[in-house]
Amino acid sequence: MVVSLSAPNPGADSDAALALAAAQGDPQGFRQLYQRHQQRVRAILYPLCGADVLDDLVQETFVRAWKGLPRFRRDAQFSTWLYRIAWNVGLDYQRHCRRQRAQQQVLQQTKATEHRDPDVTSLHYQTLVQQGLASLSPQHRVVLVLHDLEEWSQKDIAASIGIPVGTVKSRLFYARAHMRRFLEQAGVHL
Amino acid sequence: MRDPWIDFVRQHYGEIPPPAPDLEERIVAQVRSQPRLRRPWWLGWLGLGMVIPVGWGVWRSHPPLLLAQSVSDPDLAAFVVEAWTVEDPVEESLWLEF
Repeated sequence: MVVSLSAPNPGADSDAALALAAAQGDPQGFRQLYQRHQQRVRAILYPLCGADVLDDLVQETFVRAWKGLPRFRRDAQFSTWLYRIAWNVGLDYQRHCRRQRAQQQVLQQTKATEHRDPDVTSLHYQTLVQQGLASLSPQHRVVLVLHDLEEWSQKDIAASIGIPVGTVKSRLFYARAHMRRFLEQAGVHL
Repeated sequence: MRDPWIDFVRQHYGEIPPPAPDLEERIVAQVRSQPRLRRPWWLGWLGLGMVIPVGWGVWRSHPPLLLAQSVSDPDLAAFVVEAWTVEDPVEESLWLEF
């Protein structure tokens, strides 16, 4: 299944109409845009920042979008524009973390608390998967998560983070190989 | 056929934590508290109208200097001699005959 970036409810106002209303200062239109897109914004930000600051970065993304709406080009797709903002917010956070040399710590701190599965083996595997993802660069990690876990199309990923589809493919290939190698070295045998 | 490693990662990736219950309200409240500064349409023309006379005045009072330095006569003469010196003796002789 491939997820499309178009508006999930075709009967409701289009994204463009809501964006226009929001650009003219209508918070209710903006609220609807939030409700439509917040899940995918979270999907972009989560692999970049983990759970601890996810809500804060989602808020930052939507506030930036609100401020930028008057400059939003009407011929562009709102979702793509919004996801690009989310991607930039995530990258800014990455840079902030890198400066504080705390990136790995933050990504690994998200585990154990957020998974309720009491199975120790499962917790071990969850930790391994998170460590493997954390060992990828943000660019590779996001492509792998959005494509293989969130089931976005390569075209949508390319549009959202501003890279060619060919680059998405190559990053996906590299990220998969890296994860396979990482998990094999950690003793996972399938 | 799906890659079993991808299935493994998918199985153990966990779920994205749900948003805080008040997140939506927080965002809406924040955008409500930030009225956008709307620039009046005539502000750009006003700015342009000020820039032109000021720029003209500066231009008149401080005409731009010539950036390229002039070439002195000895340098020019040396350049001509060097450019016309023929290294090939055959060509040189032809040149002299001519």
